[in-house]
Amino acid sequence: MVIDLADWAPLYPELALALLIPVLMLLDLAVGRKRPLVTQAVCLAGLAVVGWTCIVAADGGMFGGAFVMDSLARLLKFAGVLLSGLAFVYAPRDLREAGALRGEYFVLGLFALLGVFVTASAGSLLTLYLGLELLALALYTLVALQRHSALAAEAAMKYFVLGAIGSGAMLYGMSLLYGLSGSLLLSETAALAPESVGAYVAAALVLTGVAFKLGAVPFHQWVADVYEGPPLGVAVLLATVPKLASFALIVRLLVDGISASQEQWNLLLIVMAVASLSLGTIVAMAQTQAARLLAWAAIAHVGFLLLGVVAGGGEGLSAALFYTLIYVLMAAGAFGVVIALEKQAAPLDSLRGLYRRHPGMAFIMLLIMLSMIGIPPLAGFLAKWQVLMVLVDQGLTALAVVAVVFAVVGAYYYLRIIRLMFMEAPREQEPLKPGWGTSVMLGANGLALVVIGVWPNPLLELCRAAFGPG
Amino acid sequence: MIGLAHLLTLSTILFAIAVCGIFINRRSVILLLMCVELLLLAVNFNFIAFAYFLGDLAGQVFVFFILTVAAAEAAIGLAILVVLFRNRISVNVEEFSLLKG
Repeated sequence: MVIDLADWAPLYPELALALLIPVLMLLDLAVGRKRPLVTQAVCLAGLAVVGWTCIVAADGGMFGGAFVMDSLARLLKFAGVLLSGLAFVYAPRDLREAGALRGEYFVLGLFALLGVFVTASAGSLLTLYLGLELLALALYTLVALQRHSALAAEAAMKYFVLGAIGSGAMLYGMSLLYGLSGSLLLSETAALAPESVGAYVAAALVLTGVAFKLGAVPFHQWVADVYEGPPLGVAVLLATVPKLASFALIVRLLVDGISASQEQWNLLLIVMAVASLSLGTIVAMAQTQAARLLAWAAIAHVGFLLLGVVAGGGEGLSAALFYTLIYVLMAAGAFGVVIALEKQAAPLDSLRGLYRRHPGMAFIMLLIMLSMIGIPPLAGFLAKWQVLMVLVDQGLTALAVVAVVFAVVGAYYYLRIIRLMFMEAPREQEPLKPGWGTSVMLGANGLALVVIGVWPNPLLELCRAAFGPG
Repeated sequence: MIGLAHLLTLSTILFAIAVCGIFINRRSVILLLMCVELLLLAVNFNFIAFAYFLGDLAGQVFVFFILTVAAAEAAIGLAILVVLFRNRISVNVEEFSLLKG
């Protein structure tokens, strides 16, 4: 039998990544033990190749529809490659100080990325589950990477137990879906009768799992701990890459898989979105640790993107996708700056007087914060605007008002950071010296927010194309 | 004759025991890990019952995957537990309060 590589064209990104991981592992064993930066360089080069395969891979289904490569999967995969690349550049500085800079970080990060790839392309319940578990298992291990830290170990345990409950609930929902529809394919489970009680239970359980993975209220308890416990270099990966998988999970499982009972889960989704927005925004105000603040802010942002899903249809989902992509870009940048402060478990105070110590970095953080608030012409404004427009179009004006109110309230803690950076005198006088890699990537990260804000059409078109002309 | 309803009832009971075990348990992390396993086994039960009554093999194949993932998950859970124990000399859930969440 001759295997024709062209038959596997939709699978190129996964194949490339699955090839890169063992190569990197062996390389790390051979030379990386003493020089982890060699591993980093090879990892980044490999990621560039994987990113290229994401672009050239053909659309189409594989394995009887269990694996689907479409424009949504392509966009999410490419974003995943970009974000893990950013994280891999930002992280080493912090990991070295934490005594956790080992090749395993990159290998596990790539495994997590492979999990995102599989989730993004899932066409059946089985692929969806396997992708999510691959992602989750890699992340549990990453959180515990700093072995001598009690804080990291405790965060890992909490993440593990809550994550396992989340996947358990979702899996139970999946088994009911399978029993009711007689198929594992997401395209066929959608034909399920909406009236049956079993379908409601399945939808509720699946939604519980989705909320756990997203960190939406009321299943948000792990988020702040898991951002704070491990080194910031791990947190930057945790804050960005899994969000893409969560979005893919929403689209594949909720929107495609159980579209029949949409009215029921939409109501639950509204409750979750508003609760996440309000609780995230309010609790974030009381935080003094940078990681915890970003964690609670993340919960609020998740609420916002859920509103896009609530609005539904191609418009709503593409607005939510746009919001997700912009949010992860901002989160990566914010963590990048905090990492460059050379402080472990950075309290917000370490941002004090950043302008005097490193004006460029303070300026980038300013851009990120303004974008998170949603000030035009930055990308964050556009992301919020898209979601709000769709909400108003759908006649959900009340939700739009709630979203705007909390966006304004949330400006408080972002403005507080800006004031700390620019108006206050620094505690430490010596200027910061971020490595050139970090500087370049942070600059590009900040610039991207401006460029997308001013010239959003290419990315918006991609987001719309991901959900067809509908 | 045992029907689908009996099997589903059993799996629901197993699921409920597992969830209660996780939330009520205030003592040992090892018990938590056992409950997580039970959770997955309840799901397996469901899948096998459905697969049998639907006459469809896909559900049984799914169970093999769940079993494999559960093994990996248990290994990682125990590894994290070992790290935790080395740092804290305890597996008591109530003592894990360094993080506020």
